[in-house]
This record gives sequence, structure tokens and C-alpha cells, in this order.
Amino acid sequence: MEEHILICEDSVEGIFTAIYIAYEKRYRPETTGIVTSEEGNLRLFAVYEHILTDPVKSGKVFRTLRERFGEEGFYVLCLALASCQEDKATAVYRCVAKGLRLRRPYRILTQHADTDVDRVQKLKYHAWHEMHQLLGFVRFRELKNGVLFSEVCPKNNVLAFLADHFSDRFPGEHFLICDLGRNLFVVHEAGQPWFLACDPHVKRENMEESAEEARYQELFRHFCHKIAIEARGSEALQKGMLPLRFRPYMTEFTNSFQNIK
Amino acid sequence: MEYVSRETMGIREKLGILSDAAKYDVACTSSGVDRRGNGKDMGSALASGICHSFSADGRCISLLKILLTNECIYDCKYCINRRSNDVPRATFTPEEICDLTIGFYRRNYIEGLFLSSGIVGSPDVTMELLYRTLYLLRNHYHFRGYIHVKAIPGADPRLIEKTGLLTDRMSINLELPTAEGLRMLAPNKHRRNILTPMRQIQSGITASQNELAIYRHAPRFVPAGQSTQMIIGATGESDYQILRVAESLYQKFSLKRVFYSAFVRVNDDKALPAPTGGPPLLREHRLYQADWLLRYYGFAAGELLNEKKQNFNILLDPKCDWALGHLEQFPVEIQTADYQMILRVPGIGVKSAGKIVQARRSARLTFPDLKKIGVVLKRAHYFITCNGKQMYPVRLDEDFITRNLLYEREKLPFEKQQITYRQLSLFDDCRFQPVQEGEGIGWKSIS
Repeated sequence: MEEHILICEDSVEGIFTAIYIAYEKRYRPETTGIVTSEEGNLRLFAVYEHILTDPVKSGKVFRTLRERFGEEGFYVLCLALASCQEDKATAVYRCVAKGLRLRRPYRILTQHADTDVDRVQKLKYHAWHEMHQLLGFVRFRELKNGVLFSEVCPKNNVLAFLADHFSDRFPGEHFLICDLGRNLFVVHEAGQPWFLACDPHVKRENMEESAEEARYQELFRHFCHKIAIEARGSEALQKGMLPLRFRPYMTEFTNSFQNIK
Repeated sequence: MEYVSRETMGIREKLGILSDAAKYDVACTSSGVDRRGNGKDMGSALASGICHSFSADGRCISLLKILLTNECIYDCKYCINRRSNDVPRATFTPEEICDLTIGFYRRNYIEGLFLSSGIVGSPDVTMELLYRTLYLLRNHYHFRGYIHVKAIPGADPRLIEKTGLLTDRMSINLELPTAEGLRMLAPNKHRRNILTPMRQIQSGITASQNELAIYRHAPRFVPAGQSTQMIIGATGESDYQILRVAESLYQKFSLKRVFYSAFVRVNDDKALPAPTGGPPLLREHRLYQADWLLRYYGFAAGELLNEKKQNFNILLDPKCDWALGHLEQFPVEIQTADYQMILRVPGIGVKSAGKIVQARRSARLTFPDLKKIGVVLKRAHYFITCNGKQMYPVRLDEDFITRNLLYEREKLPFEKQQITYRQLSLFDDCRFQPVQEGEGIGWKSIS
């Protein structure tokens, strides 16, 4: 039996295009995979195809999935696609294929005994969990021009989900959130909808902090220090709840933002 | 502690003193209410709550937890801010609190404000001050984030009602589980004064919910519910008494949460228990485990403990302990048992029980499937069967299972890890000592 492996861009649009093509060419989901990067280990009996992202095709898949899986199911699939794991596209594709065979496709997501569904749910959980952690761990600092600026370095591509939350919370603020690992930016202008900017030329030299900023940072550090009960001290518990990888970007664990690289 | 210096005290010192004084309050949750932004003002709230940081004791920092003032006319024996203690005192002005809250919130340091206070002047005066602060924050600073405020026992009910319309969660501390304990350690507080406003808030919440059912834009009174806290280990109550109190608070006062606070000895007082090896964290942990069993697992306090067995097993968690005492109800057949019974199996939680019920509609579940779903099989496998079969042929014998469960040591959140593992190396041999400097070739130079 022939195996097909589709190679596409690592984005929701890219993967949706690949799903469209897999359907168009009537590949069997069991023997078809979608990967988002060139595989290091090529398989002898697999046919590799490069897929070019096509907004029309991905738009069709987008619409179908949203209609058939419902808002909630679609959210699960999108979060799973935000994961950093390599098998995410294949897992989501197979789960979608299995779901679309049912009369109510969203029901597939409750079949936890199925390997692909389980995988999608696990990918979703990990992406969601990191997103939820970052909702709290993102730290903004105010720049001279009043813009709030934040840097994060998440494993999963959760920036868009963060943008939704923060634009809802701070409708009247200009803010930027930068994903250092992917060089992606969320740009939000007061009163406007947010957008993602890929690899823009942001001059770090112009990012001087406002006069108030250092004072608030110091106040917060002082607060975090004072709020701990010494008699209950437990570094292990703190590490478990707030892993070290988040800390270089957090005010209370750094002396100054200039230190981070 | 001169009066003059207090007037000129900087905001940093004040924040230091007043957060230090507030830290023994347990509740720092920002959960219970979903409020989307209105597209204009700053702030929103998520029903799940968001933790923004974790302090050195591993507790979450979600809200800006401060006292309005740590001046207090009461003299509760366990409290750091009691009248007879000589500690630095400070008072925030409402504007200072608002500026701090907004400044922190904008930078995403916090999820909102937790405001408590020492009793200054009288309960009414204090409650009025709390109300004014919240009024300013909500109506002048247009803050839509989470607010948790303390209701002061003995304050005017009208003040409590007005405050309740501005806040998300309100709490009144029960302080000690029994009235005798309260009389002994908090001579100025009375059980009745604490329970009266609690009842008032409860009926306020019910009335507000009924109004909301008819008018969508009716003002919301304490939408995230009310909570309370009890100090554990300062007086001689048993776990059973504490759990019974918690249960009746949930049932009769529809509380959202009861918090348990392991007693930390901050004052030297003859009425307090003698200092032991730190706060009773294991006891607190067991109470929280049991609390979850009451709220999410459908257990009753009388099932977990009883008059004869007044305290929790220190070696086993309450659910395992219950299951071992009721082996006649096991094994449970995963494919057919009802949700409530699956929930009672050790190693299966609310999430995995829900998933099992969903997944078994479309497939016959096997043990590997259960593992995928998230069941902790090393605990659960004694108590369940899949399609009539056990995972391993073990006998349902109390001693045997207890021995095996104890062998799989329970992971406790506050335990310091004493054993660390590291890579063995040739130089770990105790006879192989590093050579002092200046004595020829040391092992450092060969490695």
C-alpha cells in the first residue's frame, strides 16, 4: 500500500490546504500523513508531496470544519494545531477524517479511546495549558510613548490566543507581545482589532521605558517578596507551578528587563 | 513607630507592611465569574481564574492582596496585627490603592484586588472605608477586573449590601471552627456576628440571581460567591469537627469555598499551642483533599470520618482510605457502573470519570484505554474491572491492598525532596579525595 506524506507550511492555513488536497486526491487517511517540515528520516515507500498554501482551499476547509465540528470542536482542533509537536498535523487530519464520516462530526472528540482523538486531545491540552499559564505570566512594561511591550518565548504557537485575551482585557491600550522564538508580534492599537506581524523590523533601541515603569517594577518585586510566608517556604512547589523557563521574562524574577537576551 | 514618620511613609514601605500583614489570608483565587471586556474600560474576568505568579512558598499570586490598614482595635491571639503587638503600622488611602491596582493590572502583574482590613475605629468605619475604595476603583478608575473584599463582622448590613454590588467575591473569616475556640482566641469576635452577615450575603446572592433571571441587566451582587477561612491547629478540634463545619457551611450557607489555613505561630501567647515543627501542612492538605471530595465527588463528611474515627489517616489520602474501608462496593465495572460510582474509585478523578462515561458510548474500554484517558492505574487497578476482568489477578483484601498502596508512596505537594539523583562518576569513590593545591597533580587536571 502506498503511503503519502504531504509537506506544508507550519500554519493553520498551510495544514488546512494539505487537508483539502488529501481529500481532493482521495488519499486514505490511515496511510496519509501531513508534516510541517522536511523530515530528516525519509521513508522508502512513501510518496512525498510539497503543498503550497492556498487561501481559497484553506478557507473552504476552515468553513467546513467550523460548521461541522461546531465552535467548541473547532477551537479544540485549532489549539491542537498550535502545538509544537511534529505529529500534530497528521493527528488532526486523521481525527477530522474520522469525524467527518460520522453524522455528528463533533462527537468524534469524545471518543477518547481512539488513538488519534486521544492524541489531538493531548496536544490541545498542552497548548491550552501553556496558553493559560501565559495569560498570567505575560509581563508588560510601559515604554516612553505609552505602549505596553511584552516578550514571551512559548513552546507552542499560542500568540493568537493570548492576543484575543489581552485585546479583550485592555481595549484602550496600545500593546505589543513578541514571541521571541518565532519572531512573531501581536500588534494591538487602542480601539482597533489586533493583528499578527511576522518578522517586522522593530528597533530595540527605541524601547526606553517610561518614567513610572521602574517604580512599579520595584513595587511588584517588593510585594512578591513580602507576600510569601517563610514558615511554609517550598522552592519545589514554586518550581512546579512556575517553571524556570518562564522566569527570564517575568518582572519579579529579573532585576531589569535589559538583562534578558 | 512615631506618628510623624507614618505620614511621610513612602508607598513602598506601606505596600511592604500591608502585604506582609495580609499574607496569612489564604484566599487568592480569581475564579467564579466570567466577564468579557466591554470594549471601552480596562478589565475582564475568567471563570477559571488566572494565576499570575507563585511566591517562594509555592502559593499562587493572583490578586494584589493587601490590607487597607493594619491598625486594629481587636486583640485576637493568633493575629500578627493584634492591638497588643508592637509592629509597624500603616494605612493606605483609597487613591493609593486604586493607583497601585491599576498600575499593576495594566502590566498584567495581577488579576485584581484582594482588600481586607484591620478594624479601625469600629466595624462600620472600616466597612465604609472599604466601600469608598471600591467605589472609587469601579466608578472613577473604571476598573472591571476581579475584586475580592472582606466583609467586616458587625458592620451595618446596608454597607455590606452596597459593597457587595461592587465586588466579585466577598468573604467573612470564620477564623476558628468552633465557638469555644473563637471565645478563647478571639475575645472580640462572636460566632453570631460572623454568621449573620454570611447569611445576609447568601440571601443577597440568591435574590440577585432571581432578579437576573428576569432582568438581564440587573446589578450583580457578589457574582463569584462568598468564601471563608478557618485556622487549623490553633485549637483542639478534630478533623471530623472541622469537616462537619465545612459541610454545613456548603449546605446551609451555599459557600463557594472554605479555605483551611495551617496555623503559623506568629505571636507568643500562652493561649496558643506550643510551637512544633512548623505549620501542620499535612493536616491542611488532607482537609483540602476531603473538601474536594465533598464538593466534586459527592461524598458526605460522615462517610469519610465519624465519631469513632475523628482524624484522617496520615499515610493514605481520604479517598483511598474510604475505599479500603468499603471494599464490599468494589470492584467497579468500568463499562457499566454509573458516574457517581466511578468517581469514587481511587485514581479516577472528575476529568477521567467524565471521559470514561463519554468514551464508553463508542467503544469497549480496555486498561490501555484507561491509561490514555488519564486514570492512575497503579492506584485504580485494585478497584476496577474492564469487561469483567481485573488488570492483574489480585485479591480484594484490605491488608494486601493497603500494603501495596503504601509501597507506591503518595506525592505530597509541600514535601522537601531529600533524595536527589545524579549521574554516578568514577570520582564518587570516597577514597578518591581531591588533592590539595600545590601537592602535585590533582584529579582536576586529569579529568
